Amino acid sequence: MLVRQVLTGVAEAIDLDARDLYEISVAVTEACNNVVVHAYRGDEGPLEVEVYVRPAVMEVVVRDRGVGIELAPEESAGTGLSVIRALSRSVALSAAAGSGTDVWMRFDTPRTRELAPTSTEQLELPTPEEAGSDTAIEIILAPAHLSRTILPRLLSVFAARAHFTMERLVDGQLVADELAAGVESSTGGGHLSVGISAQPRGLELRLAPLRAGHANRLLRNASLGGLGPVIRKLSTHHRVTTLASGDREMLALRLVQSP
Amino acid sequence: MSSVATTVTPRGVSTSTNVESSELFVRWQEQGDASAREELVEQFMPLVRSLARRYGRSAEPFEDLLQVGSLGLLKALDRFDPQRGYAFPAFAVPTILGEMRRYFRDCSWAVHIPRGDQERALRVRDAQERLTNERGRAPTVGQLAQYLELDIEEVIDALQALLSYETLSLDAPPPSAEAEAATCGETLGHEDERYELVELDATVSAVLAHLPPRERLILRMRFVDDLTQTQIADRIGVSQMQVSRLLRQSLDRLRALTEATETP
Repeated sequence: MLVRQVLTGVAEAIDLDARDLYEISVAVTEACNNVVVHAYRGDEGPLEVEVYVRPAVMEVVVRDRGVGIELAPEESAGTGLSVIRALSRSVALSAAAGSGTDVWMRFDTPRTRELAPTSTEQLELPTPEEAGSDTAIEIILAPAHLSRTILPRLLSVFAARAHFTMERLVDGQLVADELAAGVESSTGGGHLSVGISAQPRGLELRLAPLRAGHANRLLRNASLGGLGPVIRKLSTHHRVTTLASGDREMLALRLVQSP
Repeated sequence: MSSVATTVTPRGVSTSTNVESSELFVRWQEQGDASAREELVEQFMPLVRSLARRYGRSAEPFEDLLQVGSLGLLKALDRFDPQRGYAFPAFAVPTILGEMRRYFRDCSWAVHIPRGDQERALRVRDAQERLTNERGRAPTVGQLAQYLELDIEEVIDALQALLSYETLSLDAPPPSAEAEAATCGETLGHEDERYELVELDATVSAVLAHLPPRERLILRMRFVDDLTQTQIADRIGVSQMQVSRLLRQSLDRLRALTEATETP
């Protein structure tokens, strides 16, 4: 569900045809189901998704850290893979025993808007220090402005799971809007890593890597027109951590059912 | 045949079924035995069903998909070559899905989907009002989903549609509330004046003054007076969803205005 929301957000950002989006969603959902069913044998485990938008092509990598899918010939990978094959231009699987599997899918996306080229080197996920056992997702967004369409949707899913009321869920949307609007100028390398994890009665959102001092600037800038710090008002807790590289930081925010 | 049910799961097509069905393929493809084809159809209909479920969503005409899917199955039964050693499903899935895709693209999709989304969004909005009134507090997404017999994801999608103020058709008040809406402007005027009398404190920047009175009022109520959206909705006589949308919209505007004034 999370991944479909990400894809919808990306689609919105690049004007992807609704039918193409739908088929990409079906294929990617199959890949994710495969992870849930096979990689972790029904247990919980991390699921990493990377979405790359290239001219007229979208690539989606679904990666798990599980036991690895047995890459036996054709039939054993099952209907899921057949569905992915039928809906994508190409699909590639790579797996190393015991260290997870990459499902790499490529889709034709004609007539889409192009995104600013970004370097995909040195992509750095926020440290999921507390993500541990809880449901969590880590997603790399490049360029960072994709967060405008993706962040609100992702937060909604976690808020819904944490039994937020519709009203409180809208608060989450407002926070996501504020962050997404400000975050673009705060990411040095043009990409943004977003981590969200479920927490007791709430969720935690992590954004990185931000330029030094920018996490607080993000919070401060959201004090619009003297209304006070909007983000701080709507979220219950925030934390700024300096990343290992020293000149980048991570902003973590917590939202709970009722403030 | 009792083994049929097992063919639904991705790995369920066991080799024993294959041996059995390859005889059926010979009977159908080489001897034209219609009863063999019937048996094969029966055996692989669960696959069509499973694909229709994967490909279609709850709002889609499932029976239609099943029908075009079966057509794909028949084609695949004709073309499949058991000698090549693949399992039939691996061969049939693209053909069956192909039929479903063509069906979607040719006829139903363009008209069907957007309207379905819109209707769903309106149902979510109305249900939310109803539940809020009944219970005195806003429902959770899960409660709404259960009430409307939708997926949580469908409710979230609907919410996104409702919150995007570009969706103009959603701006119209629900028909039943038209009478109320007529008086709402008036109520608003009064409330607004009262709030205007309160001297704007020094921290409230001039930017806020650029917003329309109603948006300014809602922002103040939410962020200065700490009222909930439901409380605001009650006071100014609009739905909570409208308050949500207005909040989002006015924060967007405010942000744009702030950026504009800060830029040297």
